[in-house]
Amino acid sequence: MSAALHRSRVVRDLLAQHHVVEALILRDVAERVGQGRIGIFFIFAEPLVLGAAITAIHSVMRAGEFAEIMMFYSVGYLCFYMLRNILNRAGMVISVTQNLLYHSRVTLLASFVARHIVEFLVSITVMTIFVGAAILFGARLPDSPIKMISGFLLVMLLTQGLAFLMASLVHEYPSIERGAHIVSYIFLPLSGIFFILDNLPPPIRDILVWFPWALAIDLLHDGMNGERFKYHWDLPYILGWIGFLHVLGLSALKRVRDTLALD
Amino acid sequence: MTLELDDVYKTYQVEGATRTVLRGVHLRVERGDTIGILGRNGAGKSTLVRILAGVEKPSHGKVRRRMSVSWPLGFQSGFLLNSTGMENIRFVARLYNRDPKRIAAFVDDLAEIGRYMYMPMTTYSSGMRTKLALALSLAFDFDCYLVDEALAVSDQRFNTVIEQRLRNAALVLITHAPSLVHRFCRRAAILDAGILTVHDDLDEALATYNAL
Repeated sequence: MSAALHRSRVVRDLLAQHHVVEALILRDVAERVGQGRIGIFFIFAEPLVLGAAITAIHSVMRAGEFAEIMMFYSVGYLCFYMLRNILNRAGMVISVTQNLLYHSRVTLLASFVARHIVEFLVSITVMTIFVGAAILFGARLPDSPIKMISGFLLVMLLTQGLAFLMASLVHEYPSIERGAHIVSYIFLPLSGIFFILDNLPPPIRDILVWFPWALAIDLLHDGMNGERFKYHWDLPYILGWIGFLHVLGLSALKRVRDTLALD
Repeated sequence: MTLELDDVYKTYQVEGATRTVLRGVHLRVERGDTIGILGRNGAGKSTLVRILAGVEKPSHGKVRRRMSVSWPLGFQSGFLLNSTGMENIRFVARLYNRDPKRIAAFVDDLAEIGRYMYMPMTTYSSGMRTKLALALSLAFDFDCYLVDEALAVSDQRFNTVIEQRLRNAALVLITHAPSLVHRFCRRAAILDAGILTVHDDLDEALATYNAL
Protein backbone atom coordinates (compact mmCIF):
# COMPACT_ATOMS: atom_id res chain seq x y z
CA MET A 1 0.00 0.00 0.00
CA SER A 2 2.64 2.50 1.02
CA ALA A 3 4.82 1.37 -1.89
CA ALA A 4 1.93 2.05 -4.25
CA LEU A 5 1.38 5.45 -2.63
CA HIS A 6 5.04 6.20 -3.01
CA ARG A 7 4.96 5.28 -6.67
CA SER A 8 1.92 7.41 -7.41
CA ARG A 9 3.64 10.34 -5.70
CA VAL A 10 6.72 9.75 -7.81
CA VAL A 11 4.65 9.86 -10.98
CA ARG A 12 2.76 12.98 -9.89
CA ASP A 13 5.95 14.77 -8.87
CA LEU A 14 7.47 13.90 -12.18
CA LEU A 15 4.55 15.36 -14.13
CA ALA A 16 4.44 18.47 -11.97
CA GLN A 17 8.16 18.79 -12.25
CA HIS A 18 8.55 19.15 -15.95
CA HIS A 19 10.27 22.52 -15.65
CA VAL A 20 12.78 20.99 -13.24
CA VAL A 21 13.53 18.29 -15.80
CA GLU A 22 13.76 20.96 -18.51
CA ALA A 23 16.22 22.98 -16.43
CA LEU A 24 18.28 19.85 -15.76
CA ILE A 25 18.27 18.94 -19.46
CA LEU A 26 19.65 22.36 -20.37
CA ARG A 27 22.22 22.06 -17.62
CA ASP A 28 23.26 18.60 -18.78
CA VAL A 29 23.68 19.93 -22.30
CA ALA A 30 25.67 22.91 -20.98
CA GLU A 31 27.88 20.47 -19.05
CA ARG A 32 28.52 18.38 -22.15
CA VAL A 33 29.11 21.36 -24.37
CA GLY A 34 31.58 22.89 -21.92
CA GLN A 35 33.22 26.18 -22.73
CA GLY A 36 32.76 27.47 -26.25
CA ARG A 37 30.06 26.53 -28.70
CA ILE A 38 32.19 23.97 -30.54
CA GLY A 39 31.19 21.48 -27.84
CA ILE A 40 27.75 21.13 -29.44
CA PHE A 41 29.49 19.62 -32.43
CA PHE A 42 31.31 17.02 -30.32
CA ILE A 43 28.09 15.81 -28.72
CA PHE A 44 27.03 14.59 -32.15
CA ALA A 45 30.48 13.94 -33.57
CA GLU A 46 31.26 10.96 -31.35
CA PRO A 47 28.25 8.83 -32.30
CA LEU A 48 28.52 9.99 -35.91
CA VAL A 49 32.14 8.92 -36.23
CA LEU A 50 31.44 5.67 -34.40
CA GLY A 51 28.55 4.85 -36.73
CA ALA A 52 30.60 5.72 -39.80
CA ALA A 53 33.54 3.58 -38.62
CA ILE A 54 31.25 0.63 -37.92
CA THR A 55 29.69 1.01 -41.37
CA ALA A 56 33.16 1.07 -42.96
CA ILE A 57 34.28 -2.08 -41.13
CA HIS A 58 31.15 -4.03 -41.99
CA SER A 59 31.17 -2.93 -45.65
CA VAL A 60 34.69 -4.23 -46.06
CA MET A 61 34.02 -7.48 -44.23
CA ARG A 62 30.70 -8.41 -45.75
CA ALA A 63 29.22 -8.70 -49.14
CA GLY A 64 26.09 -6.70 -49.58
CA GLU A 65 24.67 -3.36 -50.40
CA PHE A 66 26.70 -0.55 -48.75
CA ALA A 67 23.60 1.52 -48.06
CA GLU A 68 21.75 -1.38 -46.40
CA ILE A 69 24.77 -2.18 -44.23
CA MET A 70 24.99 1.44 -43.21
CA MET A 71 21.36 1.51 -42.21
CA PHE A 72 21.51 -1.75 -40.25
CA TYR A 73 24.82 -1.46 -38.42
CA SER A 74 25.15 2.26 -37.79
CA VAL A 75 21.65 2.47 -36.33
CA GLY A 76 22.13 -0.71 -34.29
CA TYR A 77 25.40 0.49 -32.84
CA LEU A 78 23.85 3.84 -32.10
CA CYS A 79 21.27 2.14 -29.96
CA PHE A 80 24.01 0.26 -28.13
CA TYR A 81 25.96 3.51 -27.76
CA MET A 82 22.96 5.08 -26.00
CA LEU A 83 22.61 2.07 -23.72
CA ARG A 84 26.31 2.12 -22.88
CA ASN A 85 26.32 5.84 -22.11
CA ILE A 86 23.35 5.53 -19.80
CA LEU A 87 24.89 2.62 -17.89
CA ASN A 88 28.42 4.02 -17.75
CA ARG A 89 27.26 7.38 -16.47
CA ALA A 90 24.78 5.96 -13.98
CA GLY A 91 27.46 5.57 -11.33
CA MET A 92 28.25 9.25 -11.12
CA VAL A 93 24.77 10.77 -11.40
CA ILE A 94 24.07 10.60 -7.67
CA SER A 95 27.32 12.26 -6.67
CA VAL A 96 27.03 15.08 -9.20
CA THR A 97 23.40 15.68 -8.24
CA GLN A 98 24.03 15.82 -4.48
CA ASN A 99 24.83 19.51 -4.34
CA LEU A 100 21.80 20.40 -6.42
CA LEU A 101 19.57 18.74 -3.86
CA TYR A 102 19.89 21.93 -1.81
CA HIS A 103 17.35 23.19 -4.32
CA SER A 104 14.48 21.29 -2.82
CA ARG A 105 12.74 20.78 -6.16
CA VAL A 106 15.59 18.77 -7.59
CA THR A 107 15.22 15.02 -7.18
CA LEU A 108 17.60 12.21 -8.06
CA LEU A 109 14.92 10.83 -10.38
CA ALA A 110 14.63 14.11 -12.30
CA SER A 111 18.39 14.21 -12.68
CA PHE A 112 18.50 10.71 -14.17
CA VAL A 113 15.51 11.29 -16.41
CA ALA A 114 16.95 14.56 -17.77
CA ARG A 115 20.21 12.84 -18.73
CA HIS A 116 18.40 9.93 -20.33
CA ILE A 117 16.20 12.25 -22.38
CA VAL A 118 19.34 13.97 -23.67
CA GLU A 119 20.89 10.59 -24.57
CA PHE A 120 17.71 9.58 -26.34
CA LEU A 121 17.39 12.82 -28.30
CA VAL A 122 21.04 12.80 -29.36
CA SER A 123 20.71 9.17 -30.46
CA ILE A 124 17.59 9.59 -32.53
CA THR A 125 19.00 12.76 -34.11
CA VAL A 126 22.12 10.91 -35.21
CA MET A 127 19.95 7.96 -36.28
CA THR A 128 18.00 10.30 -38.52
CA ILE A 129 21.24 11.52 -40.08
CA PHE A 130 22.40 7.94 -40.79
CA VAL A 131 19.05 6.84 -42.16
CA GLY A 132 19.01 9.94 -44.38
CA ALA A 133 22.54 9.20 -45.58
CA ALA A 134 21.71 5.53 -46.22
CA ILE A 135 18.70 6.55 -48.29
CA LEU A 136 20.89 8.92 -50.30
CA PHE A 137 23.22 5.99 -51.01
CA GLY A 138 20.26 4.02 -52.27
CA ALA A 139 18.91 2.15 -49.26
CA ARG A 140 15.22 1.33 -49.11
CA LEU A 141 13.06 3.70 -47.13
CA PRO A 142 12.60 2.43 -43.56
CA ASP A 143 9.34 0.55 -43.19
CA SER A 144 8.20 2.44 -40.08
CA PRO A 145 10.13 5.32 -38.49
CA ILE A 146 7.65 5.17 -35.58
CA LYS A 147 8.67 1.58 -34.82
CA MET A 148 12.35 2.55 -35.04
CA ILE A 149 11.94 5.44 -32.62
CA SER A 150 9.80 3.27 -30.33
CA GLY A 151 12.59 0.69 -30.32
CA PHE A 152 15.06 3.34 -29.17
CA LEU A 153 12.60 4.60 -26.58
CA LEU A 154 12.03 1.12 -25.15
CA VAL A 155 15.77 0.44 -24.99
CA MET A 156 16.18 3.77 -23.19
CA LEU A 157 13.42 2.97 -20.68
CA LEU A 158 14.68 -0.57 -20.00
CA THR A 159 18.19 0.74 -19.50
CA GLN A 160 16.91 3.58 -17.30
CA GLY A 161 15.44 1.12 -14.79
CA LEU A 162 18.73 -0.76 -14.76
CA ALA A 163 20.63 2.52 -14.37
CA PHE A 164 18.68 3.35 -11.18
CA LEU A 165 19.67 -0.02 -9.78
CA MET A 166 23.31 0.25 -10.82
CA ALA A 167 23.63 3.79 -9.49
CA SER A 168 22.23 2.69 -6.13
CA LEU A 169 24.63 -0.24 -6.00
CA VAL A 170 27.62 1.92 -6.91
CA HIS A 171 26.58 4.41 -4.25
CA GLU A 172 26.41 1.66 -1.65
CA TYR A 173 29.63 -0.06 -2.76
CA PRO A 174 31.80 2.57 -4.47
CA SER A 175 34.50 0.01 -5.22
CA ILE A 176 32.38 -1.62 -7.93
CA GLU A 177 32.18 1.59 -9.98
CA ARG A 178 34.92 0.48 -12.37
CA GLY A 179 33.31 -2.90 -12.81
CA ALA A 180 30.03 -1.26 -13.76
CA HIS A 181 31.44 -0.49 -17.22
CA ILE A 182 31.76 -4.19 -17.89
CA VAL A 183 28.00 -4.63 -17.62
CA SER A 184 27.40 -2.64 -20.78
CA TYR A 185 29.59 -5.01 -22.80
CA ILE A 186 27.50 -7.96 -21.69
CA PHE A 187 24.71 -6.26 -23.62
CA LEU A 188 26.74 -6.15 -26.81
CA PRO A 189 25.98 -9.75 -27.86
CA LEU A 190 22.72 -10.04 -25.93
CA SER A 191 21.06 -6.92 -27.31
CA GLY A 192 20.82 -8.30 -30.81
CA ILE A 193 22.21 -5.27 -32.62
CA PHE A 194 24.31 -7.52 -34.86
CA PHE A 195 21.58 -9.73 -36.22
CA ILE A 196 17.95 -10.20 -37.02
CA LEU A 197 16.64 -12.22 -34.09
CA ASP A 198 14.69 -14.62 -36.29
CA ASN A 199 17.78 -15.55 -38.34
CA LEU A 200 19.57 -16.98 -35.30
CA PRO A 201 19.78 -20.74 -34.79
CA PRO A 202 16.60 -21.72 -32.91
CA PRO A 203 18.21 -22.82 -29.60
CA ILE A 204 19.91 -19.45 -29.21
CA ARG A 205 16.94 -17.54 -30.50
CA ASP A 206 14.62 -19.29 -28.06
CA ILE A 207 16.76 -18.04 -25.18
CA LEU A 208 17.20 -14.50 -26.51
CA VAL A 209 13.47 -13.94 -27.03
CA TRP A 210 13.20 -13.75 -23.22
CA PHE A 211 15.68 -10.89 -23.08
CA PRO A 212 13.70 -7.62 -23.25
CA TRP A 213 16.52 -5.57 -24.77
CA ALA A 214 16.79 -8.01 -27.68
CA LEU A 215 13.04 -7.66 -28.23
CA ALA A 216 13.15 -3.85 -28.17
CA ILE A 217 15.90 -3.96 -30.79
CA ASP A 218 13.85 -6.49 -32.75
CA LEU A 219 11.17 -3.79 -32.93
CA LEU A 220 13.80 -1.35 -34.16
CA HIS A 221 14.78 -3.85 -36.86
CA ASP A 222 11.13 -4.32 -37.77
CA GLY A 223 10.85 -0.57 -38.28
CA MET A 224 13.89 -0.65 -40.56
CA ASN A 225 13.16 -3.73 -42.62
CA GLY A 226 9.44 -4.37 -42.43
CA GLU A 227 8.10 -7.61 -43.87
CA ARG A 228 11.38 -8.90 -45.19
CA PHE A 229 11.84 -10.82 -41.92
CA LYS A 230 9.84 -12.37 -39.12
CA TYR A 231 9.89 -10.65 -35.73
CA HIS A 232 9.41 -11.66 -32.11
CA TRP A 233 8.92 -8.39 -30.23
CA ASP A 234 6.15 -8.35 -27.67
CA LEU A 235 5.17 -4.93 -26.39
CA PRO A 236 3.33 -5.94 -23.17
CA TYR A 237 6.28 -8.17 -22.24
CA ILE A 238 8.79 -5.36 -22.75
CA LEU A 239 6.59 -2.87 -20.88
CA GLY A 240 6.27 -5.38 -18.05
CA TRP A 241 10.05 -5.49 -17.77
CA ILE A 242 10.25 -1.72 -17.84
CA GLY A 243 7.73 -1.54 -15.00
CA PHE A 244 9.54 -4.25 -13.02
CA LEU A 245 12.96 -2.61 -13.41
CA HIS A 246 11.53 0.80 -12.49
CA VAL A 247 9.87 -0.49 -9.33
CA LEU A 248 13.12 -2.15 -8.24
CA GLY A 249 15.29 0.76 -9.34
CA LEU A 250 13.14 3.45 -7.80
CA SER A 251 12.94 1.69 -4.46
CA ALA A 252 16.71 1.31 -4.47
CA LEU A 253 17.05 5.02 -5.30
CA LYS A 254 14.64 5.94 -2.52
CA ARG A 255 16.73 3.97 -0.07
CA VAL A 256 19.81 5.87 -1.21
CA ARG A 257 17.99 9.19 -0.94
CA ASP A 258 16.82 8.49 2.60
CA THR A 259 20.30 7.82 3.83
CA LEU A 260 22.20 10.21 1.61
CA ALA A 261 24.87 12.08 3.55
CA LEU A 262 26.75 15.05 2.17
CA ASP A 263 30.25 16.06 3.23
CA MET B 1 2.62 28.09 7.46
CA THR B 2 5.21 26.30 9.49
CA LEU B 3 8.46 24.45 9.32
CA GLU B 4 8.57 21.82 12.01
CA LEU B 5 11.11 19.33 13.26
CA ASP B 6 9.63 16.65 15.47
CA ASP B 7 12.00 14.51 17.53
CA VAL B 8 14.66 14.46 14.84
CA TYR B 9 17.65 12.19 15.20
CA LYS B 10 20.46 11.93 12.71
CA THR B 11 23.02 9.20 12.81
CA TYR B 12 25.84 8.42 10.41
CA GLN B 13 27.75 5.24 9.84
CA VAL B 14 31.42 6.09 10.05
CA GLU B 15 33.69 3.14 9.34
CA GLY B 16 31.27 0.67 10.83
CA ALA B 17 30.55 2.75 13.94
CA THR B 18 27.33 4.71 14.45
CA ARG B 19 27.76 8.40 15.23
CA THR B 20 24.73 10.30 16.52
CA VAL B 21 24.84 13.96 15.53
CA LEU B 22 21.33 15.18 16.33
CA ARG B 23 19.47 13.87 19.36
CA GLY B 24 15.75 14.47 19.51
CA VAL B 25 15.56 17.96 18.01
CA HIS B 26 12.22 19.77 18.25
CA LEU B 27 11.77 23.05 16.43
CA ARG B 28 8.79 25.00 15.14
CA VAL B 29 9.24 28.00 12.89
CA GLU B 30 6.28 30.10 11.83
CA ARG B 31 5.98 32.78 9.25
CA GLY B 32 7.55 36.01 10.50
CA ASP B 33 9.62 34.14 13.08
CA THR B 34 13.30 35.02 13.27
CA ILE B 35 15.25 32.47 15.19
CA GLY B 36 18.98 32.14 15.70
CA ILE B 37 20.51 28.76 16.34
CA LEU B 38 23.83 29.04 18.12
CA GLY B 39 26.34 26.25 18.28
CA ARG B 40 30.08 25.73 18.65
CA ASN B 41 32.08 23.72 16.15
CA GLY B 42 30.99 20.11 16.14
CA ALA B 43 27.64 20.78 17.79
CA GLY B 44 25.77 19.52 14.71
CA LYS B 45 25.07 22.87 12.98
CA SER B 46 25.83 21.76 9.44
CA THR B 47 23.79 18.60 9.86
CA LEU B 48 20.87 20.65 11.15
CA VAL B 49 21.16 22.98 8.13
CA ARG B 50 21.04 20.01 5.76
CA ILE B 51 18.01 18.57 7.52
CA LEU B 52 16.20 21.93 7.47
CA ALA B 53 17.08 22.43 3.80
CA GLY B 54 15.77 18.95 3.06
CA VAL B 55 19.01 17.66 1.52
CA GLU B 56 19.35 14.97 4.14
CA LYS B 57 16.57 12.99 5.73
CA PRO B 58 16.37 12.39 9.48
CA SER B 59 17.27 8.89 10.68
CA HIS B 60 14.33 9.13 13.04
CA GLY B 61 11.58 11.71 13.56
CA LYS B 62 9.69 13.94 11.16
CA VAL B 63 10.27 17.12 9.22
CA ARG B 64 7.08 18.94 8.22
CA ARG B 65 7.65 21.58 5.63
CA ARG B 66 4.48 23.64 5.21
CA MET B 67 6.20 26.68 3.77
CA SER B 68 8.80 27.23 1.12
CA VAL B 69 12.26 27.09 2.64
CA SER B 70 15.22 28.64 0.83
CA TRP B 71 18.46 26.87 0.12
CA PRO B 72 21.17 28.11 2.51
CA LEU B 73 21.62 31.76 1.60
CA GLY B 74 24.61 32.39 -0.63
CA PHE B 75 25.08 28.67 -1.30
CA GLN B 76 27.62 28.24 -4.10
CA SER B 77 28.36 24.59 -4.83
CA GLY B 78 25.49 24.22 -7.28
CA PHE B 79 27.15 26.48 -9.84
CA LEU B 80 28.62 25.15 -13.06
CA LEU B 81 31.82 27.13 -13.23
CA ASN B 82 32.29 26.55 -16.94
CA SER B 83 29.00 28.30 -17.60
CA THR B 84 28.45 32.02 -17.33
CA GLY B 85 26.85 33.66 -14.32
CA MET B 86 23.81 34.36 -16.48
CA GLU B 87 23.46 30.69 -17.49
CA ASN B 88 23.66 29.62 -13.86
CA ILE B 89 21.03 32.16 -12.88
CA ARG B 90 18.72 30.99 -15.66
CA PHE B 91 19.14 27.41 -14.50
CA VAL B 92 18.01 28.18 -10.95
CA ALA B 93 15.15 30.41 -12.19
CA ARG B 94 13.90 27.56 -14.38
CA LEU B 95 14.13 25.10 -11.49
CA TYR B 96 11.78 27.25 -9.45
CA ASN B 97 9.61 28.03 -12.45
CA ARG B 98 10.28 31.77 -12.37
CA ASP B 99 10.87 34.10 -15.27
CA PRO B 100 14.63 33.85 -15.92
CA LYS B 101 14.74 37.43 -17.26
CA ARG B 102 13.30 38.95 -14.11
CA ILE B 103 15.51 36.93 -11.80
CA ALA B 104 18.56 37.80 -13.90
CA ALA B 105 17.66 41.51 -13.87
CA PHE B 106 17.34 41.43 -10.06
CA VAL B 107 20.69 39.68 -9.61
CA ASP B 108 22.39 41.94 -12.12
CA ASP B 109 21.13 45.00 -10.31
CA LEU B 110 22.12 43.80 -6.85
CA ALA B 111 25.39 42.01 -7.46
CA GLU B 112 26.80 44.69 -9.80
CA ILE B 113 29.27 42.46 -11.57
CA GLY B 114 28.61 44.09 -14.93
CA ARG B 115 29.91 42.37 -18.04
CA TYR B 116 31.21 39.42 -15.97
CA MET B 117 27.61 38.26 -15.95
CA TYR B 118 28.22 36.95 -19.47
CA MET B 119 31.58 35.36 -18.78
CA PRO B 120 32.31 31.85 -17.46
CA MET B 121 32.30 31.76 -13.69
CA THR B 122 35.85 30.38 -13.74
CA THR B 123 36.93 33.98 -14.43
CA TYR B 124 35.23 35.35 -11.30
CA SER B 125 37.00 36.41 -8.13
CA SER B 126 35.72 34.72 -4.98
CA GLY B 127 34.11 38.02 -3.98
CA MET B 128 32.14 38.09 -7.22
CA ARG B 129 30.96 34.52 -6.73
CA THR B 130 29.83 35.35 -3.21
CA LYS B 131 27.89 38.38 -4.41
CA LEU B 132 26.26 36.52 -7.27
CA ALA B 133 25.27 33.63 -5.03
CA LEU B 134 23.83 35.88 -2.36
CA ALA B 135 21.95 38.06 -4.83
CA LEU B 136 20.54 34.95 -6.47
CA SER B 137 19.18 33.61 -3.17
CA LEU B 138 17.60 36.98 -2.47
CA ALA B 139 15.97 37.12 -5.88
CA PHE B 140 13.39 34.54 -4.77
CA ASP B 141 10.70 35.28 -2.23
CA PHE B 142 10.71 32.30 0.10
CA ASP B 143 8.49 31.96 3.16
CA CYS B 144 11.52 31.06 5.19
CA TYR B 145 15.18 31.92 4.64
CA LEU B 146 17.79 29.52 5.81
CA VAL B 147 21.10 31.14 6.65
CA ASP B 148 24.25 29.24 7.44
CA GLU B 149 26.77 31.73 8.86
CA ALA B 150 27.02 33.95 5.81
CA LEU B 151 24.99 36.99 6.66
CA ALA B 152 27.91 39.19 7.53
CA VAL B 153 27.74 41.29 4.40
CA SER B 154 29.24 44.72 4.62
CA ASP B 155 27.44 45.97 1.51
CA GLN B 156 24.62 48.34 2.44
CA ARG B 157 22.59 47.51 -0.66
CA PHE B 158 22.57 43.82 0.22
CA ASN B 159 21.58 44.64 3.77
CA THR B 160 18.63 46.71 2.58
CA VAL B 161 17.35 43.84 0.44
CA ILE B 162 17.91 41.32 3.22
CA GLU B 163 15.92 43.47 5.62
CA GLN B 164 13.14 43.87 3.06
CA ARG B 165 12.93 40.12 2.54
CA LEU B 166 12.89 39.38 6.24
CA ARG B 167 10.05 41.80 6.84
CA ASN B 168 7.62 39.26 5.34
CA ALA B 169 9.43 35.98 5.83
CA ALA B 170 10.81 33.76 8.52
CA LEU B 171 14.51 33.42 9.18
CA VAL B 172 16.49 30.54 10.60
CA LEU B 173 20.04 31.71 11.20
CA ILE B 174 22.52 29.03 12.17
CA THR B 175 25.81 30.39 13.41
CA HIS B 176 28.47 30.42 16.07
CA ALA B 177 28.35 34.24 16.27
CA PRO B 178 26.04 35.73 18.93
CA SER B 179 26.37 39.19 17.37
CA LEU B 180 24.56 38.05 14.21
CA VAL B 181 21.77 36.49 16.24
CA HIS B 182 21.47 39.66 18.28
CA ARG B 183 21.13 41.73 15.15
CA PHE B 184 18.68 39.63 13.13
CA CYS B 185 16.71 37.42 15.51
CA ARG B 186 13.96 37.78 18.06
CA ARG B 187 14.54 34.42 19.69
CA ALA B 188 17.33 31.92 19.85
CA ALA B 189 18.12 28.29 20.43
CA ILE B 190 21.32 26.64 21.47
CA LEU B 191 22.62 23.50 19.82
CA ASP B 192 25.05 21.62 22.01
CA ALA B 193 26.22 18.07 21.33
CA GLY B 194 23.21 17.46 19.11
CA ILE B 195 20.62 18.65 21.61
CA LEU B 196 18.63 21.77 20.78
CA THR B 197 17.30 23.99 23.56
CA VAL B 198 14.95 26.74 22.46
CA HIS B 199 14.81 29.96 24.49
CA ASP B 200 12.02 32.44 23.98
CA ASP B 201 14.05 35.15 25.62
CA LEU B 202 16.91 36.26 23.41
CA ASP B 203 19.13 37.68 26.16
CA GLU B 204 18.76 34.56 28.24
CA ALA B 205 19.82 32.47 25.25
CA LEU B 206 22.85 34.61 24.52
CA ALA B 207 23.90 34.53 28.18
CA THR B 208 23.56 30.75 28.29
CA TYR B 209 25.55 30.39 25.06
CA ASN B 210 28.35 32.63 26.31
CA ALA B 211 28.58 30.57 29.47
CA LEU B 212 29.02 27.31 27.51
